[in-house]
Amino acid sequence: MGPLTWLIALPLLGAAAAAAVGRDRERALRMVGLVTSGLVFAIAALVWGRFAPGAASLQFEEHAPWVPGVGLVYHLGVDGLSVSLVALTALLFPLALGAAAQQVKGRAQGFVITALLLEAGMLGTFLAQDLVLFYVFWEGMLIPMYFLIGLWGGPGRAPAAMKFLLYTMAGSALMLVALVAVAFAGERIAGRFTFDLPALLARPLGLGGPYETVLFLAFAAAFAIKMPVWPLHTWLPDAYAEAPPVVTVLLASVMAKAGAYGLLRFCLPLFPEAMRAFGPLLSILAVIGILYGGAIAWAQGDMRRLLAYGSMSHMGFILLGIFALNVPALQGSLIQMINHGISTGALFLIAGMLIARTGRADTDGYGGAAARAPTLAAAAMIVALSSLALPGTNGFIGEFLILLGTFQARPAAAVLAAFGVVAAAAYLLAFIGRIFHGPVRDGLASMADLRREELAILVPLIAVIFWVGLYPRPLLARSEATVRALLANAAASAAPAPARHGRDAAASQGAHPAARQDRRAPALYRAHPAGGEAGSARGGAAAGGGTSP
Amino acid sequence: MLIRVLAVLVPTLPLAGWAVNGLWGGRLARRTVALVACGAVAAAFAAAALLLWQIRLAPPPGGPSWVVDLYSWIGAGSIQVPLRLLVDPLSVAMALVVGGVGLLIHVYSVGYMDGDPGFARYFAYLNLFMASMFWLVLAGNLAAMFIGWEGVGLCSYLLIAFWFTRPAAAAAGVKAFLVTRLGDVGMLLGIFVAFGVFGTTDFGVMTRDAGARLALGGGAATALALLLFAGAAGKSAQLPLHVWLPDAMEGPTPVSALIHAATMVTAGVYMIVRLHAVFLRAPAAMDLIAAVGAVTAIFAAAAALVEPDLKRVLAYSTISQLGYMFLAVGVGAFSAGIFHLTSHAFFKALLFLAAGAVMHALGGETDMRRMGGLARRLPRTTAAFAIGALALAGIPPLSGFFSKDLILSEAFRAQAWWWAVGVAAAGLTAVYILRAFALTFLGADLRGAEGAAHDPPPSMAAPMWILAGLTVAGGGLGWSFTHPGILERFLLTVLRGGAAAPARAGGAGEGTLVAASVLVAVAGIVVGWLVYVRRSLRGGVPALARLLSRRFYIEDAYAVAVIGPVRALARAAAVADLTVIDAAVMGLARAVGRSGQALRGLETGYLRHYAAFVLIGVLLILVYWVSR
Repeated sequence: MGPLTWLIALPLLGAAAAAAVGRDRERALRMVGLVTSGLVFAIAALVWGRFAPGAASLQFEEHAPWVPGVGLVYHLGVDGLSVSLVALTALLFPLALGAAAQQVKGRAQGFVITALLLEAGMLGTFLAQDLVLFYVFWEGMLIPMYFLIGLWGGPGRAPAAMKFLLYTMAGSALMLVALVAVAFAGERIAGRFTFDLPALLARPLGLGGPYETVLFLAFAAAFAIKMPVWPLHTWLPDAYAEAPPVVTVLLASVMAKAGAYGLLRFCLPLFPEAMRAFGPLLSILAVIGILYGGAIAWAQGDMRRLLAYGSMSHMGFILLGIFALNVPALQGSLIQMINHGISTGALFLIAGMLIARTGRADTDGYGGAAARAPTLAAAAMIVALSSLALPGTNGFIGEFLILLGTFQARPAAAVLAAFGVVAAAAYLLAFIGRIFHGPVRDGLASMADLRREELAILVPLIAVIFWVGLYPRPLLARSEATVRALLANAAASAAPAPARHGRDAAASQGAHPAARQDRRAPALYRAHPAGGEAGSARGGAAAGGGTSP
Repeated sequence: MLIRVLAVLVPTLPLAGWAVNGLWGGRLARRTVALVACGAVAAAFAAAALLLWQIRLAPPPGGPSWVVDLYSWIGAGSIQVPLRLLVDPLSVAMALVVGGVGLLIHVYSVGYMDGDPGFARYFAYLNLFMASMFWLVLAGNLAAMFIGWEGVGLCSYLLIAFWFTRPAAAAAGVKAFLVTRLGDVGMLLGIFVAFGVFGTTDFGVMTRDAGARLALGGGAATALALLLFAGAAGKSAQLPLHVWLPDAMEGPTPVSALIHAATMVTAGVYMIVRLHAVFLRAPAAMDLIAAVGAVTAIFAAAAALVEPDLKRVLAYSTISQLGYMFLAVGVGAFSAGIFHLTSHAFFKALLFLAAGAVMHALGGETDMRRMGGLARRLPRTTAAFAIGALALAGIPPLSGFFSKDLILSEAFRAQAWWWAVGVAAAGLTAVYILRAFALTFLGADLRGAEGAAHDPPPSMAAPMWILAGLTVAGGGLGWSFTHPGILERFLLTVLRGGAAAPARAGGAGEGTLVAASVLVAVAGIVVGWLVYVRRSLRGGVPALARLLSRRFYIEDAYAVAVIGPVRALARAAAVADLTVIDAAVMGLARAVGRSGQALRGLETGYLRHYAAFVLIGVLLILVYWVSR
């Protein structure tokens, strides 16, 4: 078993171990959760560290037949799109489980088991390279999340969880149909029925026209609901506010990214023409989401809803960057996914710490908390600054690149979105101001500052904030080759093709068996000279870091 | 290389001071905190002074600036942003002003903030500000400069809201951050345009290629200049983005002196001078900058006339003086702008520190209606304030006279009415500062009961006297019998890249201009004396007084036209999100639910029925695929 399989298997084993521990041994259960997720993080960090930057292709690949009869393969791999997201996911789980030890009371066994199952589902989603395998993980993370909201949430948890479930199920049902259709289309081109994504992308699918549009919309709907994209967002405020804050961390930081990741992993390579055609519309929705979310966040009195709408506003930037379809914007979106995970995760963790202290989520109940809890206030300030994209923090790198790239592609959208930066400052400083500034509220007179274990949860996130803000190169370098190859391929296959026959003929030439044997450099990035140009610069060293056993 | 090490040390030493006091300040003794903070700034100032010595020693090879490359910060495709420092006469001159005034104000703060429970936090913020400001002036490209640019904005917010339990202070901090950030949107878009035009935001490249890449008066040049000016106007509190600066006086007074008078607010002027080659390609934008500067100068001077709060008078005065600097750069008199920036840093910091000494003596009082007669109790503070006031009013031979006069004569050469506006504003300046002086220090002693008021301790007095000395001597930087002055000759290598320095008007013409402006300043003082001291000149226009005290209703207009609607819109959207969008989705869900009820007949509970449905479905799909 390679490291990627371990990333999925360890949480499952941990869940089994937690099930074996007695349900009243809370300390032991918490320890199982922390140790398991800690080990997973160690493996993810190793994968991230040994990932060879400059290579466009999949690394650490694992490939095994699954259900050969229907073309299902167990195919895992990481490339520039996913390697940092995997690390982010693995980083957030131990922190969330640590915070949960203090914030989520009761039914510890169930919580730890569910959270570990969720981790397996989330990591699998980012690792799977087979469409059906991806779908299994995609749905697999939905169910634990449903229970985490529905069982451990606030007073309105039941309807919120149901709304979340139905919304996302509606999206994924469409995706299921579409991915079967994609496999059929692949069979028509390649003569082999498979759900293996790199194999499907080995040559252009020859979709195009209304058929491509329909399939794109089916995939995009699932991803758009997950992100969420305006106006498919109304599950978000309820779910974010009703879930326990540590679960909201996972919702906002990881699950939302799965939507954006899906657009890049599936929609961009499979449906490049539709991506281009729907670019203007989705950019408009992104801008609406940025400004609308920002404005509503400003008007919220509940800190979780404030942060929820703010998170939605920030996801709009990521969407905007994806549809600008150029290297700076896409790189910005990818790094912003990490940044959003770090900053929004930290904000919800801090909200959870505040709520654990006072039992109140409305900002009116606070005031002057900085006088009582100066360290907590300082941490909240740093995280808020990162979220409002102050230069020197991680948030700036992402939004700068997104807006810069978008400005080159769609100036008007970039200009409007840039005002979202002001909106972010408005609602985040309102958040800080209402809670930490002003006269000290009576109820807060005895509020405690950060405890040691809380500090241990926030310090890693703050370290990442400054690290990425000041030296983003390691992150950007890991994704650049993949992004270039992705865009070059999309441009090549979306270019007005000659007659369908001509394209098929060209494709069959590329179907040389030898080319498809080499898994380190899938034919995806070889079939098209235009793609090779970008990928080959440093692509020669591609294989160095990642080998499959 | 020595220059490299020194250039890196200048911003990093205060940054280290921030880290030490920010992380451990609460556990350190006050003496240690003060020593770390002041020591870091003193060392940074010394490094800047050594840089001056170094660049005087040897000119940089191939170009006007020494370039210190640190590392590649952002790289994505064709977008490359290296972190690079630029060491040249302009950046070193700015670093010296920032470091010198900053050091004095650090020392002053040790006495002023003594006894405040947030002592360590204060110095941590102040050091972070110094680091950001040094970075701002030394940065080698616009994108890297933006780190310092927003960094000083952050410190401004933190220090305005330093006494965060006061609602007014907290609100003023947020206001400052948001208004300047609104301008920064323009700055950010300007950076994007610069990337589009030049492929980089490197100052050296932009200066070199401005002539080739930007058509004179073309759309790109004008757009770039106007967008960058939006950022400058926000940071430097020019109309219509000036509204945050008077409120910023909620912060501790040394902060007002350093950030909101001497250094940060001049960042906009510095940026324009740094990119003068770009701005010179956009004459229309330059005219607008000059016009905004001139109008701001007279507007803010008028607003200062009726302001009852001593610190806010000085704030309006700062806005007004910044207007002069923008007038200067707008007419292409870049070195005159930097000259006034420097002399203003001296005399305005002095005025603020003297005001701080007054507050220190009166237990934090800033309302001039509750002051008076302080000259007898605070004779040395009075003298210091008087020196600053005379410099501000433009009375020779103080530094303010030379720098303002240089701007006015350059403005006259560009367009006579700008000169006229500038002179009128100078007259108002003399009146309002005399009013402030009279209300504070002259007349009946309104606080007779509190006899404890006394001049500040030496740690606060010494910085004031040094600034007073600089205020008196600072004119020497820009004035000499043989034009141009020292500063202008020093900056020549940097500024030569743009337009040819305008030829000096010598002789009688200039003499007349100088005489006129001195006459106006003296007249202003005389009028002020008659109105506020002798009280022999009375009367007034109530409508005008109302207009001035409402500051031309600009803030009221914002409240009605911007803040109110935005707030209402946000609230409406928050409601609509639940009642319209969510309701539509839930309605759809209910419709699905109802159709589900209708289809309930299919749900028989028999497994064989379900199997049959699945089979039918699969068959339908197969039929579809086969028939395609």
